[in-house]
Order: sequence, then structure tokens, then C-alpha cells
Amino acid sequence: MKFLKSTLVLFVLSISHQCLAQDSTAFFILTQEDIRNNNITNLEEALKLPAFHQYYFKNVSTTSSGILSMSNIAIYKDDRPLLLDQNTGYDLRAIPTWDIDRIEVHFAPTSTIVKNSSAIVVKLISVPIIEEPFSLSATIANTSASDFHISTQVSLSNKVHTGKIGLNRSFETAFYADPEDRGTAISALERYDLNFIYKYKILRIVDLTIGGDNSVLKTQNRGELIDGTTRVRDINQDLRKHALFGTISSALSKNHTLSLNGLIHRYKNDLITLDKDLSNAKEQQFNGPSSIFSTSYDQGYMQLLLVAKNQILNYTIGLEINNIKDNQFPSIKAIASEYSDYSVLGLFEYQLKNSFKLEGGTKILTNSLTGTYFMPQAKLTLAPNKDLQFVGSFHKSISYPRFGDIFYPSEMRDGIENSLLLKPTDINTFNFKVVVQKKNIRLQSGILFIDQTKTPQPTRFNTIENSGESRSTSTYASLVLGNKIWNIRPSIIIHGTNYLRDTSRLTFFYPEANIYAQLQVPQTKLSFNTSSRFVGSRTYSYFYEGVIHIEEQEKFNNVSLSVSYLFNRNRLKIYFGINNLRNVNFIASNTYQLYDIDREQIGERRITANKNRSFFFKASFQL
Amino acid sequence: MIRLLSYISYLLLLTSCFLPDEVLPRVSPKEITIRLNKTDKQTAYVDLSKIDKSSDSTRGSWHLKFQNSAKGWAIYLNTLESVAVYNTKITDFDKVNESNYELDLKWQVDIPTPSGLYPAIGDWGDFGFANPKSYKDVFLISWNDGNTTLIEKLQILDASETAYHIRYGSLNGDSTKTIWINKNSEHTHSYFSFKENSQISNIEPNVDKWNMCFTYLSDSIENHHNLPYTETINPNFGLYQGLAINYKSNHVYFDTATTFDEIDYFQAVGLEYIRKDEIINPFMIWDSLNSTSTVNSKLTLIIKNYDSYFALKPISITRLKNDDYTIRLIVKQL
Repeated sequence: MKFLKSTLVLFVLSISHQCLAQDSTAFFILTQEDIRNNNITNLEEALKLPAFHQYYFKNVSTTSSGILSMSNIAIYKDDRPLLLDQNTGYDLRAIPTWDIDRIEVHFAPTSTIVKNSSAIVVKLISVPIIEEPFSLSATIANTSASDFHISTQVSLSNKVHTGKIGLNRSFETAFYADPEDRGTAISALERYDLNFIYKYKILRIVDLTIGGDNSVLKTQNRGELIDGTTRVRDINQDLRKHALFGTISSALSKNHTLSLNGLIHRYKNDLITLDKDLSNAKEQQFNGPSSIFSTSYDQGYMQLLLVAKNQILNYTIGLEINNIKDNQFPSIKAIASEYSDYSVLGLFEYQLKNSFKLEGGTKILTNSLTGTYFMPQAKLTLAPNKDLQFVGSFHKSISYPRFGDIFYPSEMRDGIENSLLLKPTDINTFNFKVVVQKKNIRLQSGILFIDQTKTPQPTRFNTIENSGESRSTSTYASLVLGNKIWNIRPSIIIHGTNYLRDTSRLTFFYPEANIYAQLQVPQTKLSFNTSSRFVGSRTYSYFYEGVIHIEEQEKFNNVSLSVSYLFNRNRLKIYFGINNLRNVNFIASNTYQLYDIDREQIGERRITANKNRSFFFKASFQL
Repeated sequence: MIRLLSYISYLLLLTSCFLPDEVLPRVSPKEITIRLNKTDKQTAYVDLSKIDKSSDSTRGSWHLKFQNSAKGWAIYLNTLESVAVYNTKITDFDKVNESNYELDLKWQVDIPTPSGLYPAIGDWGDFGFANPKSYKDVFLISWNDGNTTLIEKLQILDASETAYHIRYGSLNGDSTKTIWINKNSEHTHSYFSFKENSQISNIEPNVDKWNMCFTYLSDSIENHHNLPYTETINPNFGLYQGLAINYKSNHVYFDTATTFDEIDYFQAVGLEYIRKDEIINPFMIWDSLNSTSTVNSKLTLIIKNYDSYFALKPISITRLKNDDYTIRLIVKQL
């Protein structure tokens, strides 16, 4: 029953969270059942979400949403930054999803998040600890591609002390660019996770939480056989991620809560380029100029928040301190490669009856390298009746330039000089939407307008400056429809993007449609699930060596089906499914150079939209 | 049921891991045969990445060779066609006539130096400008059409990063022509023939499609007194069988310490390579007493091209009296 209960709880959460002017509204929620039904095992796979575009090229995935790259989309887990400052090239496969309860996609939410946050925020919420003396859950999954995942979680609780520990091993086989050759399009990976959390109810009003997320990820990017030889060049990745976090919160009064959050995060990504001779098993590390360098960063993060919840006026004030330090190259040319930032924030929420709600506030961030930034936000929700809401919001936020753009010298960056004074990108976001909500239906439709300025851009003198501008307008609509037996969640987005607004008026459009659906067969323990995703041809533009280039990527789709059944007094759930039913894997991506009135094709590459079609079997046991 | 799942999971846990690298059989070295003569097989260009059983030699019926790199202005002579030059130091093209030709003129051919071939035409202009300013010197050019020696006059008018502008004609002034020799960055040089009266193509392959060229190269007789040569118009220089290395990212290493079988990529990658444009007779040991040639069996020539490495070893070398050569090599990509 727990499985059924969790599905239904999340469904209800997504359609009837709060009414009237209480705007909860994530644009989309990927539930734990969605994660299981689609055999999603890491964040990279999970981000094939509505509003996102993802493809792989030469073992590297690129995820974006309209004009926003991953560095401009805030990703948080349980309100803690998940990917450092998102400017260091984090491998999303190192973030497991076996302990995730749901993933929410928010457009322009009111938030205490300081960076990368104004336009799209992705929130990962962990599976809550069951406050029972003992509980155990385990999941194994195997696919026809020989992927294998096994995880187990144990929790103990006596109401005062509650603890949970989870272990996981994942192995995913490589996806080959050409079945005749050994070169991988998506590398094989092996990941071990050890996540734990401990909660101590010190007093009735004081809680302490300590936890840790630890993962070791190994991948093998296999190169193709070099013509005329028995040699190959592979890249072996050995990634270690350790995050230790803690929260102490105390109710200061009936309406006030003070909480202190802390995080220490170490990320070490060793990349070793190996030359191998397959005829004699000799191998040697390659350290030539084209070899990829390893990275290693430390993050220290602390947030102090005072939250006041009253009937009419709520407010939040807080402080945030953050530090990022490079361990691989701790100083370059006698300059320490690290920076800090300090933020203060104040947010308020005023509600008049059930028909008017105003939220607003500001954050002030001071970066140790580049100065102070003022980031206001405001949101107005009007609810003329209990079924209808009009929401309008404005946010300003910043997104840091890539760590390498700030610190790494030209020898490490294709000849482009770094700049210590490179400023963050400014992101201004406007979101207008209408929400219609009835008993079994929730419809939201709106426009998300994003304006990015001061984007780092290489100049023709091989320097980098904050000269880029881009703008996007996304028109979206999503529907959640259903009852306790079935639900269907379609969504559609049309992205209008102008990547080089500073130099050209080229606006490109690409559509996407997503449908998630579940059916619980009445009077049985059988469920059917499907998720379908259709992404139209996408075009984007960029500057390279002073010339505008255009990349056109083919449309693709991904359809997955699964069926599940509960056994053993609902303690065991068996899933059987198929991913990428239509076996859409490689798509064409053509590059053009743009001239005044014409364009010339200068390149063609095959990128990977999905891995091959595969069947999976999964068993999930809960005690 | 749960027990069964446990057993399955243990089994799968053991089987799901990275695949070991497959073992491949060694690639056998390839053999290549080069045939050279001074009449119709003067040059053989070799692309080491696409090596063939034999490499086609061609006759390069050109007379002047123009450097194609944007900032390169050298003009070379074809010694195989007996081309030589004399600088009259006169700048008025029309004033140069038969009276300037004398039998005892000091004809010049290109001079090999340790840093490369120095053109006999020399610095024909001031190269300090973006587009060189020609000194407008009129040169006499001697060339042979196979039967007789002909004399032409030549003046380089100007040049840019994309072309050379030249004027040439007979000494009696009957036929004077002005043409542009276009630079083509896909080739190391552009070629001109007095016989064809035009720029000629198809002399050399695309610059990325060859690593080395077997041909005849001129060099100081003093430097190679043990090697057979053919006389040139300049008594100090002889024509030797040689190897021209494509300047574009090809570097060489002469290995006499390791056997050909032992050399592999891991050893080759650590060697110190040098840039060398021309190598005179690298694979032959000449016994001047008996006038016989033997192959230099201790030498392995390693050529580095970007990230690729090739080892070359001579198997046999045959020289006929008229300086015809047949060279057999084995080549392996490392």
C-alpha cells in the first residue's frame, strides 16, 4: 500500500496543493513513481524533463532550456546547492536519484536561492525518513543493455533519534557510436553511493540534522581505433563527490523559526587520457596539449534564515556565505584560484483575504572579486474566484561565469585569456501565467520571458568580456487531469530564442510536447505507465572566431512504457518496461556559417538523443 | 520470491562491470617500392597514412617553384630540368637583350644550407612590406627543353599574400608575357613552366596528403664526396637522390639504436624530433671503391605527423648507372 499511497500523495500534491492565492505551482513534478517507471538512475537522465533539451556528443551531455545552459538553471537538493556554483562543469551522472522523492521544475519562483535562480529552478526533494523503529527498502533493476542497479536503504527511529543510510551500486553499459568500432557515444559508468542522514530532536522546538551524500563515479570514454594501428586513446574518469551537510533549526516563537544550514562539498574529477596498444596491452598516460585536465573544487556554504509565518504578513530574512576553492590548481600565476560571496536577503509575503497576495524582496550579494549585486524580486497573485489565479512575477538574479573563464590561463582554454574581473551574467525574468484549478484538473498556461545580459563572450583579440546578450520567450501550457485511478499530465512549450541579441536579430523557435500518464487498473494491483516526449528541431547560434555560426539539430522523440504489479502484501513491486520504444538514437546536427544574406554548411555531426531501445526489469521491496 | 531475487541480484552484481579491452592482432608493416629516374619519374610523393604497395613517380616538368605560404616569397629552380639563373641587376625589362648573354656567365642554382634550400633568385624585393616591393631586377633564366638550352629573361613585378606577378620573355623581345602565379594554400608551392607558358597544377598533391617526397636534390659535392651524383650547371653542386619532408607538421628522428620490430608508439612518443626539409640519400651506403650500393640496415627513420608516428626501414636499394633508383621500404604506423 505504501507504493500506492506515495503515488497518490504526490498526485494530489501536484494538483491540489493550495488553492486561491496560495501559489505553489511547480510547472512540472517528476514523482518517485515516474523515476521508477522510467528507470531513471541519475540526474542527467532525470533532466530529460519538460522544458529541457539534452543531447550527447563524444560522451559529454549538454543540457539546456531555451537560452539557459546548465550554469543558469539553479539546481538544489533539499534547499542546498547541489552542483557547487554550477560554473565548474559538474558531471550530472554523479547525482543519484534512488533517494529522491520528487523533482520539481519551477518557473520564476519566489525563493531564497541567491544565484542562478530567477528563471528556472529545479528542486530535488529527498525521500523523507519514515519515523518507524525499523524500515528497510531495496531495489534492483536490470536492463536488456546489461545495465544493473541495486540500492538499499535502512532507517531506524525512536522519535528522538532518527537515522537513515542508503547504499547503491549502478552500472550502465556503454552506448557505441558505431557497432563496428569501440568508440563510445555515451561511456559506460559505474557508480557507488553512500548517503546518510541523522536527525536529532534535541528539544521539542530544536532539531538537528546531519547528513552526507557521497558518490564515486568511474567512466570509460573509449576512443575509436586509430587507422592503420592497433592503438586507441581512452579517457578514464574517476570522480569522487563528498557533501557533508547539517541543519539546526529552532522555533523562536509560535510564528518564528531560525535555522542554520551548512554544507561542505568536495568534488574531485580525475580525467586520465590513456594511449593503449591493443595488440600488446601496453598503455601510457598521454599528457599532450590536447589532453583534458582534471578538476577538483571545495565548497563551503552557510545560510542563516529567520522565517516568520503570520496570518497576513510573512517574512524571511537571511544571510548566506559561500566559498569556492580550486584544489587542482590552487594558485595560478601567484593568484589564488578561489572566490567568496556574502549575501543578505529579505523577503516578505502579504496576503489580503484569499484573493490577493504580494510577495517581494531583494537579495544583495557581494562577490570577493567583482563587487556587489542587487537582486530584487516581486510576485503578484490575484485570485478572482476559487478556481482561477493570475500570477505575474519579476526576478533579477546573477549567474557566475565559468570558473575557467575567471582563473584558467589561455594555455588551458584554446588561447582565450581569462579575466579575474569577469562579471556574472545578469538574468532578468518575467513570468505571467493563468492557473485554472478544479477538483480533478489543474491547468496552467503562461509566458516566461528571460533576458540575459553581460554573458561572457570571447573577443577577436582572444580576451573575454561581458558583452553577450540573449533573450528568450517561452510559451507554455500544462495540464494535470485525473483521479485516484488514472492521471494524465500533458505539457507543451514553444521556445523562442535569440542567443546573440547583441549582434543579430536571429530568433529561432522549437516546440516540445510531453505526456506522462498512469493508470491503476481498478480492483487489481496492476498499473500501466507511459511517458512520451517530442522535441522539435532546435536551432541555436553562437560566435566563433568573430563569425556567427548556426547549429541545427534534428527533432527527436522518446517514448517509454512500463507496467508494474504489487506482490507479497504490497511489500514487493515488480516493474517491467521499455525505454525509447521507437529506438530514436542518433540525430543530425549541422553547422552553418552565416553571411550577410546566405549561409554555408561547414560541418555535420551525429549527436545522440537517446540510448538504444532497451527493456528493463525492476523489483522494489519495502519492509 | 525474495530469495530468488536476491540470487539474481548477486549474479547480476558480478556480471555488470566494465568490459576488458579486446586483444587485436598486430598490424603487419606495409611494403612500398619507389622507382625514380631523372627523365619521367623524378618525384614520388608518399602519404604514410594511406600507404600503397608502390608509389607513383611523376615527371615534374616545371621550371620555377613559388612558395605558397602567405608570408613566404621564395622562388626556386628545377635543377632536374637544368634551370639556372643569372641576375643582370638591370631593372628596365626592355633594356635586357641578347647582349647581356655571355657564355661565361656565372649561372646560379639553389643552394642547400643547413637551414634549408636558399633560392638562387634570392631576395627579389623588400619583404618588410605587407605586399613586397620588388627591386625589379631582371634575371636571365637558362632552361633545357630536352634538346636545346634556352635563355629567357624574367622580372618579378610585385606580389601579394595571394599571388606573384611576373613578366618574362625571350631576349630578342619577340614574346613578352605578364602573368599572375596564384598562391594556393592547399599546396606547398605553385609551379610555372616556360614550356607551357603558364602556371601548371597537379605537380604535387594537397599539402595534407603527403608526408615525404622521394626525388633528386642538389647539394654541395664537398659535403657528400662519398655519394654518387649527377653534375649540375654549377660545378660545386651535384644532384643526389634525396628525401624532401613536408614542412607542415612533419618532424623526423633517425633511430639507429632500436630495431624496427622493437619500435612502438610508446617509445616513439618520447623521442626528440627535428624539423628537416631535405635529407640526402638517407637509406643508402655507397661503396665508392667498388661503385656498389648497400642498404643502411641499421637506420630506422621515424616521422611524426601531428599525433601520428611512422617508422620506415629500407629493405633494399638499387642504383643503376644512369642514377635510376629502386628503393624498397617497410613502413609501420605506430
